[in-house]
Amino acid sequence: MIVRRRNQFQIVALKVLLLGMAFALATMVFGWWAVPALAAVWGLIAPNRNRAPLLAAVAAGWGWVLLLLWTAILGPIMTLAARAANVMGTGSASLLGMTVAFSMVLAWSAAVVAGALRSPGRRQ
Amino acid sequence: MTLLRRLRVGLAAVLLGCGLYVGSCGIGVVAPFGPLLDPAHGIWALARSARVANNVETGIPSLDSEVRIVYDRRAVPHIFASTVDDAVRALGYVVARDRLFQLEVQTRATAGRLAEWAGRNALRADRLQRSLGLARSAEREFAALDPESTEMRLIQAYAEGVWAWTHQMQPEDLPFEYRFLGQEPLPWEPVHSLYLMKRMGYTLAYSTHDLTRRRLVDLIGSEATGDLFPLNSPIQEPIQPNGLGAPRFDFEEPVGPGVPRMRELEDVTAAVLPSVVGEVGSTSDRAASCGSICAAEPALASNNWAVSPARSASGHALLSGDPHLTLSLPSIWYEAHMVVPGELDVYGVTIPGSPGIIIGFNRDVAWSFTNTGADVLDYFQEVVDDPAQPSSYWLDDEWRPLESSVEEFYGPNGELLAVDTLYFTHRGPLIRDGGELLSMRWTVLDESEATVALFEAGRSGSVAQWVSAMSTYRSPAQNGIVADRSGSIAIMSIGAYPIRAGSGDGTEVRDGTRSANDWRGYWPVSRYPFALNPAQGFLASANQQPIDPDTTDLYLGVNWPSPWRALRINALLRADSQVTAEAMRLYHTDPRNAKADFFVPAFLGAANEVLVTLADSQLAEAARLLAEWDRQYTKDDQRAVLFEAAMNELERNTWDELQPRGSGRLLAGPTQAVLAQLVSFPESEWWDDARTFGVVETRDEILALSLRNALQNVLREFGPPQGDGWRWDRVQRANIHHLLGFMALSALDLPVQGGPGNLNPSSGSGTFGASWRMVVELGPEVTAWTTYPGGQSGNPASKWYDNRISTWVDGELEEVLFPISAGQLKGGDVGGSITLRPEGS
Repeated sequence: MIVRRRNQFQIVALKVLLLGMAFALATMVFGWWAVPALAAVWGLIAPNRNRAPLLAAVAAGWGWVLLLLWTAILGPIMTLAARAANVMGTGSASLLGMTVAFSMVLAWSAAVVAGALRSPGRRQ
Repeated sequence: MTLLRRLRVGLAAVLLGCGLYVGSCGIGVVAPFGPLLDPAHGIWALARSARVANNVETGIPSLDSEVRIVYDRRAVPHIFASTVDDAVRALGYVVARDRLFQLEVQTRATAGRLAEWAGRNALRADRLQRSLGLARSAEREFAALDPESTEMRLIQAYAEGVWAWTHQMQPEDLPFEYRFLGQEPLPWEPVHSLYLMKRMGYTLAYSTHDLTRRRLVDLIGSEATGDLFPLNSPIQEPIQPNGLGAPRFDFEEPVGPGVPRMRELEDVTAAVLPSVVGEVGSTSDRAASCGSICAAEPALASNNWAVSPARSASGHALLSGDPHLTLSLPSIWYEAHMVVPGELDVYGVTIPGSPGIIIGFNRDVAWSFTNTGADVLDYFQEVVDDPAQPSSYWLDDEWRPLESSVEEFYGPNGELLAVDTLYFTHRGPLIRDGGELLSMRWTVLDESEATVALFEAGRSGSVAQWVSAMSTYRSPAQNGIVADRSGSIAIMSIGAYPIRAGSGDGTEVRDGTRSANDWRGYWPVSRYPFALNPAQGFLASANQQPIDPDTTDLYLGVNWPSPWRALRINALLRADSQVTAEAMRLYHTDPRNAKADFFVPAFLGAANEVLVTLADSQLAEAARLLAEWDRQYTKDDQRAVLFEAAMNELERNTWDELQPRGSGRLLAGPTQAVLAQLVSFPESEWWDDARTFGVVETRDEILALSLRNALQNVLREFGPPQGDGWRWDRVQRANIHHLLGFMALSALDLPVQGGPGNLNPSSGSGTFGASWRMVVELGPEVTAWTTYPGGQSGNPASKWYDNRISTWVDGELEEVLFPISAGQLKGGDVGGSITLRPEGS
C-alpha cells in the first residue's frame, strides 16, 4: 500500500515537473497567454479530470518559478523586485508571490473550465 | 453535474475571465498584468539585461565597417570606429541600449505628447510646449537641411544606431517604464535630435520677464522697475575679466516705489506663468516643500573655470566643468568616448538624443559650458482681425495672413483631450497674455547650429580652433570655457544675440504693427564677450553678467542672477597661485558663500543697533546664534538654517510693495544682489513696510525683525538649536527624482555640502544641482576626473542605474580611462564589449 502511494506520488511529481517545464517553455515561446491555453489543453486531455486543475495550477506556478530562478541566475532579480514592487505599492515578496499566483489562478481556472467541456464519457 | 461542481466551474469561469481581463487590460493605471508579470518577457526579464553587454556581436544595417565598443569598469562605452558616421551610429546604439525611455521622454516633452502617457495631468505642459512651437520649428529646420550637410549626416547616423538597437532588442530589453505604462517605444526619427536642442533652448533660454516687467511698471513705476530689475548687475565680477582684480560694487540708491497704476493687478504667476517654472517648481511649490528656508531666487546655475599653467601646481592648464540642471534618474548626461583614428578622439558627456559629445575633452582641448541667460526672446503686441478666431494681423498698414495649426491632444487610450488652434506671425507663435495677443520672437525657434558646432569643437586641436568651431553656434547661448595642452585658456559667451530697434534693449513688449520694430540681425562674433589668456591667469563663469557694462554698449540681458558663485570662485582662484586638480575638485563643493559674507554682518550690525534702544531677548538670542556661524554650508553646520530663514524673511519684509493687493505673493522678486545694494542705503523708501500704517521702518529695523522672525520660524520648524535639528544636512537635502516621478526609482533625501548661492547649489526642494562634474588636467597626457548624480544605465535593476550618486554626494570624482585603442583596455578595466558589424558580413 505504502509502495503504491509512493509510486503514485512519484508519478504526480513527475507530471508536475514535466508539465511545469512545458509551462515554462510555452511562456518563453508564446508569452503569458500560453499558461491558460496550455492549462485548458491539459484540462481537456488529462487522464484524471478531477486532479487536472490542481496539477495544472501547481505545474504552472512551478514553471514560472523555474523562469524566475533562471532570471535570478542571470541578473539581480531581488534588486529589481524591490524597486518594481515599490513602484507598484507592494513588497518584493508580494510581487514575486503575485507573479506565481497569477499563473496558478490562470492555469487552475482554465483547466476547470476546459474540463467542464469534456464529454462525460471521458470522466474518470 | 453536481451543484458543487457547477459552483466550482462557475467560480473558475469568473476567475479565468478576471485573470484574462487584468492580464490583458490591467487595472486602473497599472499596465496589463500578463505582459507585466510574465517571468520570461515581463518586468522580471529586466534583471537579465541589467548587466553590461559582454562579447556581444551583432550586425547593423548601413554600417561602413566594424565598430568595437568596449565598456570600461565604470560602464562607459569607448567606441572605436573607422568612420565618423560609424562612431555616431554606435553612439546612437549604446545610448538607445542604455537610455531608450529617456530618449522618448525628451522627445514627447518637446512635442507636447506626454498626455498620451499621463493623461490630463500632462495636458497643461503639453499645451505650453506646443504653443511655443518647439517641435514645429525643429520640423521646419529639419525640412530645410541639406541632405548632404554634416548636420544631416550626423543626426541620420545617430538615428540609424537607435534603429539598429530598437529593431534587434529582445523582450527583456524593453525598459521598465514602458512595461509599467503598457506602451511600446515611439519610433525614433532623425528630427528628434533637433527636438532635443529645442528642449534645451526651452530649459535654458525661455523667459517671460518682459511680461512680468510690464506688470511691474504698472505696480511700482518704470524707474523703480528699472532699478530693482536692472540691466546691469550692481555687483560686477564679469566673465570677461575687466582688469580690476576684484569685484566692483556699483551701488546706487534705487528709486522708491511709484503710485501703482493698478492696485488690483492680476497675479501674473496665475495668468502668465502656468508652466513656465514647472521645471523647478513654482514659488509656492518651493515654499510648501522647504518651509522657512526656501530660497526665493531659483537656483538656475552652472559653473566653469580654468587656470593657465602659470597658476597651476603642475604647470599645465586645468579646466573644470560643473553644469547645474534639474536632477533626474536616469541622469540627463551619458558618458562616452568616441575614437575614429585621425578624425575624432573625444571623451565626455552627451545628452541622449544628441549625436555627439557636448561637454568633455580630446587629446588636446577640454571645454565646458554655463548658461549665458541672455535675453533672446521678445514679445510683440499684435493687432488681429478677430481676437477670438484671428486669421490675419496688422503689419505696416495692411493685413497679413496668420499661419495656423490645429493641435490635437490625446490621452492614453486614444481619447481626444483637447484641441488648440495655434497662430503664427512672421515673428513666431502668437500667445495670449490676459486680453492681449502677443507674438514671440525667439532665437531658440531659429536654426540652432549646435550639432555641427559641437562636433567640430570636439575635433579641435587648440583653443583657437575650438573658438572658431563654436563661433557658428547660435542657441541656447552659452558661456563656453576652453583650455588646451599648450597652456591657452579662453572663454566666450556664444550665441545669437539680436540687434534690436530703438534703445536696443529687449525689456519691453514692442509694437507688433510695425516691421521697423523687428530684430535687425545679430551681433557679430567679434562683439561676443571673450577673453583669451588674461593676465590674471584664470577664467570663470557662474551665470553672472558676462561683460562689464563700463566696457561695452552691447545689450545681452537683464536682471542677471546674483553673482555669489562668481564672487566665490573668483576669490578662490585669486587666492591660489598653485591650483591643483584636487583643489578644483574641492571647489565643486566649497562650503563658503559670498552671500553670507555680505549679509551676516548686516544682520548682526542691525541687531546690535536695535538692541541699544530695545530690550528684545529673542533678537539678542538670534544675533548670538548667528554670530556663532562660520558661514560654511557644511553638512554638520548648525547655523546656516537660521541665516537662510533670515534671508527669506528679509526678502519678504523688504519687497512688500511688489505684492499686488490680494494676490498673496510677490509679482517678482529682485535678486539678492539688488537687496545687497539696498542695504547700503538705510534711508531708502523700500525699507518701509507699506503694510504698517503710520510707521516708517528703517533698514536696521527690517533686518532685525527678519532675524528675529527667522529664529521663531526655525524654532517652530526644526526645534531648539541644541541637538541635531538644525543640522544643515537634515534641513536641506538633494532629491533626484525618476523621470516619471516613481519614488522607488528616485534617490531622495541626499545630504550634500552646499547651499543657496554656493558653488554647489542646494536649495528649495533640492531637485536642482550639479548635473556633471569634471576636472581635466591638460598635461602631456590628458588626465580627467568626472562624476554625475546617477549612472550609465536606465535599467533600475542594474547596478549602473545609480551607482555614482554616493560619489557625487561626497564630492568625489573618479579618474576616467582615456585609451587610444581598444587594446589599451585590459583586464579589470574592461566591463564588457560589443562588436558591431555591417549587416550581412
